[in-house]
Amino acid sequence: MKNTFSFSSPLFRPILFIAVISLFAACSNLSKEIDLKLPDYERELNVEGYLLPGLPLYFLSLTETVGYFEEFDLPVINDATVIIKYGNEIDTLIPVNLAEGFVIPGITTDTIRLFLPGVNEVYLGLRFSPDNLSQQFELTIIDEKGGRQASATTRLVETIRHDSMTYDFDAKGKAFVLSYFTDPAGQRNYYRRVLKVRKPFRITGSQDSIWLSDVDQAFIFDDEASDGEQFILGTGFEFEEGDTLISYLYHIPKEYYDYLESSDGAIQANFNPFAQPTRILDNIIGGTGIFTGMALHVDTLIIGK
Amino acid sequence: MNSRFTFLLFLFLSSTLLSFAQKPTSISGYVRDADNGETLIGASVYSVEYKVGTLTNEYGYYSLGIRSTDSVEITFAYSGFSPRVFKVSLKEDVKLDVSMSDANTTLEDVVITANKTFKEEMNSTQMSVNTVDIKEAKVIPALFGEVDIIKTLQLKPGVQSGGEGTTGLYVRGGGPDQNLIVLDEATVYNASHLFGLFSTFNSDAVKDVTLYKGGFPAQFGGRLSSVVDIRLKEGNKQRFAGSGGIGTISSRLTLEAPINKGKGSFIVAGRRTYFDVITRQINRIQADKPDFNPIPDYYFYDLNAKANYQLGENDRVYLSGYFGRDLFGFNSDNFNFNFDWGNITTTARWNHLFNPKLFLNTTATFSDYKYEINNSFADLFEFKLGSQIRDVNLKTDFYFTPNNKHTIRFGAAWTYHRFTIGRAEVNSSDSSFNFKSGTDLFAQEGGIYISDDYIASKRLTVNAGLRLTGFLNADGAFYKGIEPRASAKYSISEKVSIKGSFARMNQYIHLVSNSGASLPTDLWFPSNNVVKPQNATQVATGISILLGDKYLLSNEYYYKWLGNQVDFRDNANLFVNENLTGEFLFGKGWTYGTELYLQKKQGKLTGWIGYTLSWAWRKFDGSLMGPEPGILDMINDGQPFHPRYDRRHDISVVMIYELAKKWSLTGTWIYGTGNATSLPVGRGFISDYVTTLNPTPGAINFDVFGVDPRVVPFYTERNGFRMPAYNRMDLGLVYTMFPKWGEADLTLSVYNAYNRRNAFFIFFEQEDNRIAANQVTLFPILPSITFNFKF
Repeated sequence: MKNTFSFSSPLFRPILFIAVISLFAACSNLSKEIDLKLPDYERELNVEGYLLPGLPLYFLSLTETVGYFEEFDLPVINDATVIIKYGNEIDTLIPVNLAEGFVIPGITTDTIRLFLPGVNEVYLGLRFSPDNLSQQFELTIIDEKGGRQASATTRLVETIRHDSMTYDFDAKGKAFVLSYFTDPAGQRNYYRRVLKVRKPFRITGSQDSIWLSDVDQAFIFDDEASDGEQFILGTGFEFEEGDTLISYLYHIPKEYYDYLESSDGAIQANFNPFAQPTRILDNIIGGTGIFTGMALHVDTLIIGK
Repeated sequence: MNSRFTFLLFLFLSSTLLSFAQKPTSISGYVRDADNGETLIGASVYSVEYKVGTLTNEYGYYSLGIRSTDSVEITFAYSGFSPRVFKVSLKEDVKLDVSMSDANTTLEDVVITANKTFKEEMNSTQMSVNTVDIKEAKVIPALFGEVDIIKTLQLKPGVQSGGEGTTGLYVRGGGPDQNLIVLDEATVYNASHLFGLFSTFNSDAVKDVTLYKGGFPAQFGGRLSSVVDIRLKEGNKQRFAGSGGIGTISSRLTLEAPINKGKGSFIVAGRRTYFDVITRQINRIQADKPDFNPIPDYYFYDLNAKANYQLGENDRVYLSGYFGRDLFGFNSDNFNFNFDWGNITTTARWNHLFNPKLFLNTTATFSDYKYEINNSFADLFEFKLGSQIRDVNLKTDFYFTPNNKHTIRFGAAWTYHRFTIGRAEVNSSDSSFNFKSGTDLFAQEGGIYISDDYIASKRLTVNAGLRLTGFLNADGAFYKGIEPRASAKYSISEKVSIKGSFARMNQYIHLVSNSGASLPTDLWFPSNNVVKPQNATQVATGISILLGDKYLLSNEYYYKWLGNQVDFRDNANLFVNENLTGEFLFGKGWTYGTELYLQKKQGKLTGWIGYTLSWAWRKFDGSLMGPEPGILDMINDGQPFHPRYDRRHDISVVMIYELAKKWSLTGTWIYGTGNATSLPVGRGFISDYVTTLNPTPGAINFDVFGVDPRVVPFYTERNGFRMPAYNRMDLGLVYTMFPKWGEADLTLSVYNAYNRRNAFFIFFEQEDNRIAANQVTLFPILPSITFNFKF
């Protein structure tokens, strides 16, 4: 009797057959749509309002949340009463349609058209004290049709300025950019950095160029590990001579930092199996969203030779 | 309640000491495998005539007290081996070392019944314990053909895996951090390769695996939910031998040989994957293509080595070690990323026999787990990140058998922990920027214990023990724990016994992870003034019934209270955080359930069927966070919730059928309720618009733009939904060959034989204005072939 395995063994052929069939099946798609039943969902007021010192106006958007599997056509609430109180002042915000155009009373007589991503109908505010960091701002929203009311409070924060911006090239002629700023010591600070790049874009078949702006970076961070130190914010080797880099350094309160971080966490959990889904940390009572003050410093750098 | 229990326990142990006055003769020695000289753990040694018996300990040693007599028959039995019976004259103490032969190879015509095989299980006071038969584990079909003892444990009742194909252990509702995994008595902190898909243990080098789910013996402490005690082989004492295998993703080789004519022996076992060999070739061939992105390098390897030597008749020393690493690398012109992680353990052990009744084991171990990430960017910046835990442990255990009624164990252990938490370093090449962070923490953990296995009557056996533990953090935080342990067995008849147990456990170190998976970046953190030790109290009761002569049916019920449970705040930064303590949340938990286990160990068809019905709960209502907890101090608004590994029903069927002498057919089938999961219930839009002053001259003096407009999902209840139920069948076919130089087999494994699309996770996709839920399956049907050999 042979004591070694034979590939001509009658039992080897079924093994080979199983292996081939299995390999074939293994190549098929591993993702499929499934039917999930979720409980009934009660819509909420969804608020976004940002206050920055030094600006002539501010906006507030008011929408509704929807059930997760409902079709999403961005339900805007454009007939609510929106009031911001600060000290003895009361600012009742004006509903405007940015796409159709609006006039800013007392500032310009021209009709201004703006594009605000996703939302055209917003509320316009024109009065608030920009420099008083101890001033509390109180937001009240009354949605009479929906029988809902929401409120929130916030304060402004001090401006943190850039120290400088620099750039350097690699061997292939691509530039990276470093932005420097110094964190004030002795307190916990939260930041958001947005970097926009304006590039000349050559029109096909023409010698003319147009300028296109794009958000290149947007991230939040805090100073827990480097309190009072100088921060260096870098980019990859991705810019070219002539590009204009605009660095927006937002000094933000913790409540806005938490809101951004938790909404990122919730989005991550939608596709990352290892992420722990998190509830969004907002500061709206009677709804969801964010009403926050913040301070902004902008620095600009043009990539030279 | 505890103090009353402790008092009764001391009373019990005092009565034990009084009984030392009796002076029976004893029979003692080692029980070994005749083929290779390996000691056999848990072999049954008994006298039918006197109705006394014992088991060999973790080192293969037994000592059985019997009244002086002219002649007594002593039976030695061990699962899978032919029993041996010796007629011994016991006028004085007798030393008898016994070699036992594999039931399949013995020439003796012995009829083996399951009754004998199950005897040790029926007679032991220990309950809630599962063992892995390495021979069985090697033929059970496996993912990519990689035999994995941890995955075999997952097929036992009361034990669950965390997810498809992973090696995490979830025992009786406990978390993966609540398992103490010891390899030759050294703690293994991260027992997995490839992000949890394979365990670190090479089955060729493993001799014995025992999992304790409850009724923990007093010698074990430090974790709440289970102890996995893994013992390495000692090496062949008879001859030079080797074994190995060539598989789909890895190959392995084990060599062993005697030292100085059997006075000692050694074993060396290695394993390495070869994904990287293939991917490097692909990268080399594709390198010239302009848009080609190289495939990252990945491989893992591990090495086990062990040697032992007999210094004299009563002394033997052992030295063993494990070294394993996973290496992941991605390197391009401007960007280099290297990530490696792994364990090192070493064990030095001394066994000494003072006299036939008193056996000593003293052990020194070293454990190290670390991960390191090295990242450089265009030679301009260098970024390093890593964490590490390093233990030095000393322990001593005494086994004392004063007479045929008592087997006493006592001992002490001390561990020095060093934790390096989130060590990060960023440097620029021109030295303009340097940043360092990270913390080194130190702590000491100690314990003393005593336990007695007491044969109170022919029917009743009791094991009572007490473990006293202490933990001292270098910051001055000190915690102590009183951990009573007790179990009892009552034999209603030869075929029916009932058991009960009680165990209190403390856990002083905590795994910092909120991923729900075993990731290499998970780190361990010591208790301090804020982070209190976790604790658990478990009660269990059960019945074992021999059905006919071939089957053993066990049924256990348990309830476990979990105190000071650890979780983390939403959005916690667990990666590089100097103030990690601030991210902890504390709560409590409770789990309960029942486990049915039907085994068949002899005959052409062997295997088991396990069924578990269980519930696991956690509650983080902020009550342990301070007098006025806020919503951020809670999870799920303070309401109870199921951890994601809560599983209502869990079934596993394992069958091994010997078709012919050379052919075996194997199969497993598992079913489990879907994992608890959190799903979004609503969604809303964030414009993320920003209003700024417009820097462009001539334009209006403000600008509005959207930074990151997005739709966000809203999650409410923690783990309030269920994934689809999981089920899978694996099949295997083993063809055994007997060439002149030894033995070999060709094993075909088919993982997920009916190609069930089990949901590994659910994700959502936007299609126009509609959201669609999709499930992703990790592994479809996966065949693999492995060639194994031994000589």
